[in-house]
Amino acid sequence: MDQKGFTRADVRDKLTGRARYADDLQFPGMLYARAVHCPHPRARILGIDAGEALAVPGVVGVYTARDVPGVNQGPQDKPMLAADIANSAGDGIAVVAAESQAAADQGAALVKAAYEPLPCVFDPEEALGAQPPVILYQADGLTDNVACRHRVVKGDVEQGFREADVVIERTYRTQRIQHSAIEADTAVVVPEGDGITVYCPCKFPYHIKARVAAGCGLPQNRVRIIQPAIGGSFGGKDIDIVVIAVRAAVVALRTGRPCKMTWSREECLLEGSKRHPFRLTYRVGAKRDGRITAMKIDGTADAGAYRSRSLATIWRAAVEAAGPYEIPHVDIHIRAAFTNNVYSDAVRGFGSPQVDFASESLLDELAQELGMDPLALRRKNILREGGTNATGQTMARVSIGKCLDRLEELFPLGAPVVTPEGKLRARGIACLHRGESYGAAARDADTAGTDVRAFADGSVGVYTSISEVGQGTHAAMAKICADILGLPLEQVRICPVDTAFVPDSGATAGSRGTISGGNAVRIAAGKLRDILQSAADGEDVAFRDGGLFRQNGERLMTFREAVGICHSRGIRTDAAGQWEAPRTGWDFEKHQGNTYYSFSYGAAGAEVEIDPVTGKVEVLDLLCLHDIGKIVNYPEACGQIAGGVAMAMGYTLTEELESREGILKNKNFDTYLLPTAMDFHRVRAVPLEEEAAENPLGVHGVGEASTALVAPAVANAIARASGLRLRTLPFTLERVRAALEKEEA
Amino acid sequence: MEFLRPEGLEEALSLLAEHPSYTILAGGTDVVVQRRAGKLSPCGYLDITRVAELREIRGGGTVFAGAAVTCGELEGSPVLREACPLLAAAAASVGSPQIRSRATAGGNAANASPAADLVPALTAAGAKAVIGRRCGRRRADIPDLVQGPGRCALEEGELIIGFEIPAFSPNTRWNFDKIGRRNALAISRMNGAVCWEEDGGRMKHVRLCIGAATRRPMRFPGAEALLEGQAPDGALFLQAGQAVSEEILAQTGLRESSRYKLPVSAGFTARLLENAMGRMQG
Amino acid sequence: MKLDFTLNDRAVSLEAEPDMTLLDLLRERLGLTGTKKSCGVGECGACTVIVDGDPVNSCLFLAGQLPGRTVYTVEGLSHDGELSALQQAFLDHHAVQCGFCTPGMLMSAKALLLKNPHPTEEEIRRAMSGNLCRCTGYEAIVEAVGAAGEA
Repeated sequence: MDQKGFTRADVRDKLTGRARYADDLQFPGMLYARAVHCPHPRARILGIDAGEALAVPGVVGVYTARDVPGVNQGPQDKPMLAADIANSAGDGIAVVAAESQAAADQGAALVKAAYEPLPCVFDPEEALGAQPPVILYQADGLTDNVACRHRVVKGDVEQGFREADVVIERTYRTQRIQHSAIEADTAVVVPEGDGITVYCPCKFPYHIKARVAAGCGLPQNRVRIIQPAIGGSFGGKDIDIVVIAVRAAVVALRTGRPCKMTWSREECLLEGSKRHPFRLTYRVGAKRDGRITAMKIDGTADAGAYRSRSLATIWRAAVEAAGPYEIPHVDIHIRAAFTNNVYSDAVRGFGSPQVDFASESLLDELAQELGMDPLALRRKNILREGGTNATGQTMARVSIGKCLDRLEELFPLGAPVVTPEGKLRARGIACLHRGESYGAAARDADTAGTDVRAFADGSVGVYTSISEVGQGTHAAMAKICADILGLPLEQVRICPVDTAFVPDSGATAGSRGTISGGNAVRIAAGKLRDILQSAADGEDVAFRDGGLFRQNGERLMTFREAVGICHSRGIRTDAAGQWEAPRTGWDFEKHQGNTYYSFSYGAAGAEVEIDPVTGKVEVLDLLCLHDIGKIVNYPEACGQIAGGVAMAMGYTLTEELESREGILKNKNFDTYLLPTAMDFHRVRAVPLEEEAAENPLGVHGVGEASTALVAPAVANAIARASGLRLRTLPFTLERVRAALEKEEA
Repeated sequence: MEFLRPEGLEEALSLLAEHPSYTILAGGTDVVVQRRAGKLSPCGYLDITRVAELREIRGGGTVFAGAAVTCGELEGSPVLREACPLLAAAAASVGSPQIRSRATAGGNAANASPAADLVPALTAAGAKAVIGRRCGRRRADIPDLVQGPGRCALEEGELIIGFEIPAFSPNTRWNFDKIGRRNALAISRMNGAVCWEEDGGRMKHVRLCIGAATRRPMRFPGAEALLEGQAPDGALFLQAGQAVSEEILAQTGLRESSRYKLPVSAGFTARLLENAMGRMQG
Repeated sequence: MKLDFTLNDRAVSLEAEPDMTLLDLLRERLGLTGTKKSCGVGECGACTVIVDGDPVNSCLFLAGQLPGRTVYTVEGLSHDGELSALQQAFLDHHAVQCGFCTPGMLMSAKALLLKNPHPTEEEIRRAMSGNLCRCTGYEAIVEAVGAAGEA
């Protein structure tokens, strides 16, 4: 395995300050915008008085939902600007545009709105109960607050419990967090000709294009999305960006001037989408020897006020909730509730971090009940090649066993742990399976388009809308292209993402960027190679070292010469590649199906130290290994794992958006606590090449799986260190202390 | 917007007398944050960071640390590390390197946050604040100055000039500790400082200050009395911790945060005392 | 107010509102957008610059305090398009992902190395603890700073 890797083309500019992010852009005559936010969790907007705001020097206009030219709000969607009813605190109700940001801020503070507070529901269980205080979307014809639900059924779960020697039931809870990219969400909209150009960070340019076009009432061919450098995504920068872009577009269209809208950090926290909090109740039955006979899972997620990507999140959660185990009888039912909390959306990992925390904590609890070693219990039940998972899918290329082997080798659970006086220390483990790409819940096929073009000088451009959010996918795609065309990496460039030129490659989500984008590049580059082959006039040539080589090793011509010959013959030297992932499917009556065409596997070990005086948990050692099939760029793969682990560390220990009656208490990074460099002691990110993935490149996604293992591994380590079983995330000072006191009592 | 930048102390005090409504600006780590949150709308600034007297650390039997000395300077000062390592340790625990580059001793006291990290250290070290006004000086004990969340007992036209701290003796035992939710950039969930003189194996002149547990960092005379004149001892420290916890309950009543703070304050205090160290170990 | 100070080894003189932040001054008045804005309250460190040798959050530094100061931003790190040893170490150690925290990270690292050319890992973590990174998990960054220190 080549562990050295290669340098990404985007890094140099990021190191010199030359990289331009959306907020760095300036256009002549540009206006600045600031939103006015509803202070109530649910209210009817009775009137908006912009008089004082308009009197502020520099303010040029105040715009409301009435000014949105196109679709302001689809059914149960987040509105661009709340029109009649705002369903969560922080919803934008107006936009103030001004010559400077300061004037826009001042104006926004002076907009007066009259509200009629309406009945609310905040607790998802209450929202789904028999008598909810309110059915939020009754006007849309909904008869309950169910945002979406998903069920998985295998065998007869009651029969499975009858066969069990031991049955336990446990409930786990996860919290609301935010993706918290360090770059705040921003869009700059420039009116150009009969359309608009939107400069914005995002993970799905064609989705932004479609939604912004709809919001602006423009045909899609008049809306151009250009991605500047992107300061992180982590599942965000999608619907939030649509909302911001449409608000800026309203200003741009009304004034004919460019408009920048950057959310302040406070606005990101206030209005931006969050990760779904879950309540998950597991009932598991097992034989004395550890064989799991039945698992029943009932879950509720908080979708918040708007629908967003709840369906994909709940779907994934349900599919993965039973863990990487072969269990004969399974019944899983997870529902997401509409509430008047800030809306939930995809956050790096979709539903995996929630269910993996629960299911892997449960495995250790079951092991304890059975008096078994946690690793042995897992080994007894893990999926094997050709086995069937909870959804009835026959599993291929299963490497969970190998992952556990490597975990045992690199992180022996029974290794002696030296505990300093007054502290508690122990190790814990967890493992996972994870479906890749969209899966069967997606309405659309999982396809990605990419164009590859060779220019007259032999340089090559790749056109993709897979987004470089920092994960290095563009460099990986360039490498794949360069290898196929036999070119040095420097000769291939991933062109800037601009929907005027790049084809739709789908979302950079579900860890599919390098899988889907890379395979599309593979196809396009292969076609281009076939085209250039014609320059050899039928001779069998190999593309390598920047040229076309005969079988005897003699160079027939350079790559550039081949391009020149094609051009002289009137042959275009570009090719389109379209990757279509193997089909998946779901039977909604039987609650069974082939959910994802590919699964990846991983395992983690954590060594923790608890300070019983303060309740502080330190994660002293964290090993996270993931089988990612073929590794394209080893150090970047390590970086993806380490980054996912870091995000998961915040999820596990410090990050929690607290709200009271729908009002978030965390206003900025002083109270919403991301981990710092001092909160990590030893992190070992280990990418493995165990089984080639189910695609011609053999690559697995690596972006998300690492976000799901830390919480259960740490929870299990805490339990082994102290006997405390923490079932609610995050493990704050208060929760740990409270558990210790309960234990003492 | 007027932005005054005096170079001398008397000039600064005169300007303050003329413009008592102006915001005194040192490192800006509280002022700019509060401005952003809409809690402060300065009508003018008095920048005190150019006043040499306020930027000094002077050694001697009594150490002087100027109000505009930054946490980074406190942390790195050889004079202070020798004479009052307690204050240097507290300063080192503040925020982040960037915050420590700017945040000042005077600002920490003037902002009067219950969780201020320097205040317990100054209190336990027996420091006095030197407060100036045009043609006048007074001295105040720290608990008399820092009175509650955001309340610092300065009269109109008064400025904290610095802090006078009795230099530690070879027999001084001290400690500073804090509980944060993370290991940097952490607002203290609880902090504490302690100082005593070890005299013939007994604790004398015990000063114990716990912060972020009550409305302001405060001393605990009951706990101090338990310790005074006694030999350092684990069981005694636990008793003192219990006394602290009881006093906190008396001060705050049962609140949402009590469930954590009451039991933790006992163990935290006991450990603070247990791990107290000699001067050179700082 | 008239502001005279040194920025990236050049004398700067301009008229500006004294109560604007150094961050806004750099980005909006001087066009130096390498310094990033994120939290505005000194918690994330994306806006870190070096003033008189110390790392500071430029979002909390008011322009009126600038006269006579010496300021370095990320734009002052490399010369003639050549990466500095520190920047090269970040590149070599894959310490950059989205890049948004990178300028601030570099300035904190630079400030550390100016005072302590051969820091330990613990010293590096402490020096970088005022800079939040959501991408890397810090490991590669800590390694890069360590390597730059050894160079």
